[in-house]
Amino acid sequence: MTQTVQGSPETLSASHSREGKSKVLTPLSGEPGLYQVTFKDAATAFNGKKFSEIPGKGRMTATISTHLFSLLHHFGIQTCWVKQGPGDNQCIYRHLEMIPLEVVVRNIALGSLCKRFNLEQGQTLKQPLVEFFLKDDAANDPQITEEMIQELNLLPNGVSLKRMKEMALKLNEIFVAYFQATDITCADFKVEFGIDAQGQMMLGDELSPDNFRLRDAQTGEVLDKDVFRLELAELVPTYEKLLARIAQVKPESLKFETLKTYQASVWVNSRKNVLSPESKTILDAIHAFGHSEVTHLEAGKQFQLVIRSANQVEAEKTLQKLSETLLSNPVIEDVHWHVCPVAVNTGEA
Amino acid sequence: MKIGVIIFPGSNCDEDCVDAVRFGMKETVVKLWHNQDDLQNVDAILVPGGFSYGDYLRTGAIARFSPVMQAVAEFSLKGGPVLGICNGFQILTEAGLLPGALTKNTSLRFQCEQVMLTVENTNTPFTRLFQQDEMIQLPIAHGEGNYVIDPEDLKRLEDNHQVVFRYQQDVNGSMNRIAGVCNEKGNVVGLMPHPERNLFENTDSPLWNGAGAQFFESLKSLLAAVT
Repeated sequence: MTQTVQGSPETLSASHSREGKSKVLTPLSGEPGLYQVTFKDAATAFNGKKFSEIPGKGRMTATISTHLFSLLHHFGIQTCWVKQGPGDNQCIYRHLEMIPLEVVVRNIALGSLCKRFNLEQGQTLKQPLVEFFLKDDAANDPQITEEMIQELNLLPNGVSLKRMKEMALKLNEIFVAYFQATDITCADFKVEFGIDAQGQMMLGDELSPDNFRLRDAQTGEVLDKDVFRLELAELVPTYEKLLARIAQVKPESLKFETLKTYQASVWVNSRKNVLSPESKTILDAIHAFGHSEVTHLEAGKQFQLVIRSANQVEAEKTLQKLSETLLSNPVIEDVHWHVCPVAVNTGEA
Repeated sequence: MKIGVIIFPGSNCDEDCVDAVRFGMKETVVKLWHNQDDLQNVDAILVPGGFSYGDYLRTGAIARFSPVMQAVAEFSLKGGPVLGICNGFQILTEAGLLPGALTKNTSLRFQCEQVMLTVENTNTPFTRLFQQDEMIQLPIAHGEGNYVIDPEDLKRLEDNHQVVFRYQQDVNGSMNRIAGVCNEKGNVVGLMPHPERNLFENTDSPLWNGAGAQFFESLKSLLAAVT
């Protein structure tokens, strides 16, 4: 029934209809450079190892992609998408020569990242992480380094990895704000880029919950293809629920306040070589209380702070400055501090 | 000449300093609020004792961030004479205008008594009329006058003759019995004892011998020489 197609479907010849895992592309007759893209009623996961026919899925992925592409157009991002139709499971795309890379942006550690680096599921990353994977089903889409991308000569003329990365982070900023507006956490997403006939880099592929990890910020409810991967819930009703929520969000109302909340603690103690009469007096009292087994005591101060910051690195900078210049006096005191994000409910055990 | 006295929320020796200028030096005095950054062209600054901003966090730690202290820092960098007394001394160390720090007295008590000091540096605007190694008596009133500094910095301080006053006996646990120091240039001086509380001689009382008046006379003689 399905056939694995090497490389991205959009790269295929302009004369024939070709089929990938989730879409069928047919050149539009009489409209050079345009394709009719039909989103299939099929769900695959784990690189095609898990597969199901799901009626109504194509309509949902086409419609949600349309919402997200329109969102990006509102912010002046160029994409392959032209319009939805003629069928409600179809879109018209501009032809792109696709770059065979999957670009993944992660805000929260979930899925394969946790296995690769032994991170805790649901851990908020210090700053958005961009990863590149080679599109090669036979090789299981391996992660790829900048040097290997150069070695394989994967980038078209005029396209740099730095630009792709900047673009991916820009998309992340928009998606995070967009989903946040309806109280959904955008944990990660995957995008693919290509170049048009003029050599202009733009966004290709699809923008559906197949390629995003989305969680209700309050309950942790899973609102993406993980419901199929992990068999948590029915896919189409889940996508319908997501669509109903994002349909409420007006792009013009988005606030790009991407600040997150961090909790910090600062501990201040007398320096080891500085006499602390207070510590000595308390220790003397402990000894008078009959506990001569206590041999050392350090009286100090603790501060609890809440910091609103763009990411962990920025929060750490703020805290370090405060700790070392205001909250402690380096002549007489030692300072230790710790900052961590306020926990986000990811809905995963 | 015009002398500025800084006033923080909680300062309580400011009027003593004002009186020292007005009746001791017989010069013009300007009160400078903590929240203003215009020093009104004064010729010298007195940072008085008491408390500042509740002395939360550490004594003098918050006062250092007030607008007036930013202006005082600039004034001192240009060589302007600055004297910090008690809490004023603590503020100047927190602001980094003087080396070291002041922490709790080893007695853990607020100490209010007369102490004997040796004047060890007479090359500052506030000590130039004293004799080298002159012994003077001044009152102290503090809970955190225990002077602490890194051992290497202590050595540098002694080598540079930046110790201006030394207690003759241990009073509060201060390293090397340091009671007051100056910066490298010598224009900024801080000390825990209160010269403004011993301005006039009273032969009927052993507490009043007027030793504090020399601080202000020294300043007056310097400013008279340069202006």
